[in-house]
Amino acid sequence: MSRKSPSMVLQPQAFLKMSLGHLVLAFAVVQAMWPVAWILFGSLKSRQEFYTNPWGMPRSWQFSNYSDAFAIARVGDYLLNSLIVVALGLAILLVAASTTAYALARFSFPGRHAVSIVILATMMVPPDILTIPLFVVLRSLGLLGGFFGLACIYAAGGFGMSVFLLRSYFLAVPVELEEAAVLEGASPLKILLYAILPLTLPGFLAVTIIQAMGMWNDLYLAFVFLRDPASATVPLGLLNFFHREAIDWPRLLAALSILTLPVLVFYSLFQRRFVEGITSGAVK
Amino acid sequence: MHRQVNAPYALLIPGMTLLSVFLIVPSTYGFWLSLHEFDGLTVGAWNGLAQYQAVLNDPEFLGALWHTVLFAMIVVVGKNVVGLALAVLVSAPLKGARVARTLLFLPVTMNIIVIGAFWTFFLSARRFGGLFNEMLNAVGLSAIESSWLSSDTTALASVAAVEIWRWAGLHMLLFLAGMQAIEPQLYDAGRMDGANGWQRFWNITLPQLGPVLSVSILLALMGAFVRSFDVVWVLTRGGFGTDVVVTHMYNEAFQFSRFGRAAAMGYILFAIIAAISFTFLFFNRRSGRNV
Repeated sequence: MSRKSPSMVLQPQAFLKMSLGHLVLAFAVVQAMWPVAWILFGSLKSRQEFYTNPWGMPRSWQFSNYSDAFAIARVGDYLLNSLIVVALGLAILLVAASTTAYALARFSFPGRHAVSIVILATMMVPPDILTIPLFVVLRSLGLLGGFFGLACIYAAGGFGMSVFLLRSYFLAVPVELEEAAVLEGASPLKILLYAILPLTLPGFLAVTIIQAMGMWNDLYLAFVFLRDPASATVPLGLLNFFHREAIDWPRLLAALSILTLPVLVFYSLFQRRFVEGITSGAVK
Repeated sequence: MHRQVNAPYALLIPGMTLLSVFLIVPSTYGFWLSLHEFDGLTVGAWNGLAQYQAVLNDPEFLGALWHTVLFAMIVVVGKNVVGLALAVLVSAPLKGARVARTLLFLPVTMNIIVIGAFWTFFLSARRFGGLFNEMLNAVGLSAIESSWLSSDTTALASVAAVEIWRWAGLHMLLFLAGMQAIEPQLYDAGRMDGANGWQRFWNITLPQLGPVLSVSILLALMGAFVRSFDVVWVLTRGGFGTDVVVTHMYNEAFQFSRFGRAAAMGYILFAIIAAISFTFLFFNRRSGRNV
């Protein structure tokens, strides 16, 4: 008998396994990217071409769909509204969450544990369940339909997760650094801004990116709390466009591409922060 | 020194104000509202739990609750099975596996209208360009062709499938984080004992993933019960047997102005997910798999 090494026998089988693995991997990746490719391709087709060739590459590139989306679908207004809401929401969230996280990380005071428990408890109650009472509260505060009220709800919804993420970053900052600053006579706010912020920037980046994406993509809360079409955010404005009897597909897809491109750019730049921001809350 | 003592409390003011006004007050005030007649404008007579009784006897609400439970069962199993399969796939020694992790997460970042537009078109009838039906037809399965999102028998499962597709990448990441924490020696020991890949997965990976699996299941449960409005509304607007509790609640308040009743539905939903979560955690702890 010749010495047939076991690895020789296994090789074709292993090779088959590897190729199969690569095939499945390729399929998984292609299907995950497909919708984005589809809206980008579709946004460049003429209306006529879209109906005869909805799934293929565009034969001629019709960039006028994009200018039409701005002119006819009012995407420019929606974009501005979205930017205002996201900027407001982030500002409120970052101020509220960073101060709270810092207090919890650096000070020991009566009631600290209780504060943590309350924050944890509110994380179990998503704003979605509180739609009706929030509606009533916003109205009695005169905030219904405005950007500020919606921004506050976004901030409150992302508050717990952001506090705990930021707190873990604050805890990693050496106490000596702050003690030195205290000896110099700096106030807590100054210490936060000039000594700690630079060191905890990755944490702030993770919170900002993940919450900005959530606010940018939100449909439901905007749908309930922004009743005036003129103040619609991009998803809300496009929902009306999408739910019409006759959809103008290429223009809708152009508008959707405009909505998607910023997220794609941010995701490719800050991919690690996305992952951190999203998994941190859940894995803890 | 005086400043030292007050500093933490001053720092807590912005956060606690935000939480109080937009989460704590609404959740308690809303409960008070649910105990009254309330049309959205004026608070009427004290109703006690009559509102809750009415909701729980309302066949439409019970129908929506049943849809929610079905939807949750498909979604919870689907997200975890697909997420786990993807995690195993991208942690295999394959070329491009790292890039694949990034790309498989892409659907999580997509706007629901993008997802809705794609899947609506993909699942539509062949005469509207529906590619899925075209593919079924091409492989000789034209018998099961359907207008997947606008037929009573298939719409709920189709919406659930889209929801699974949308979030599978997130669950993949959770499982990957859990798998990275498993000690490699366990796999070495498994190999020495002659366990094949499947046995190693079943006897090492899965038991070691216990805590992460619980988190993943709970997350999927919460998502299915509470956060399903957007996917349902965009794809079917609650029609064709896909009316779930959250869409029903929306209509109850904003179409029919029965705000007190809608508020009660919110609390019933909350009680249900709280009960499910606690039962789940309780049994999980008793079986000794969890921390």
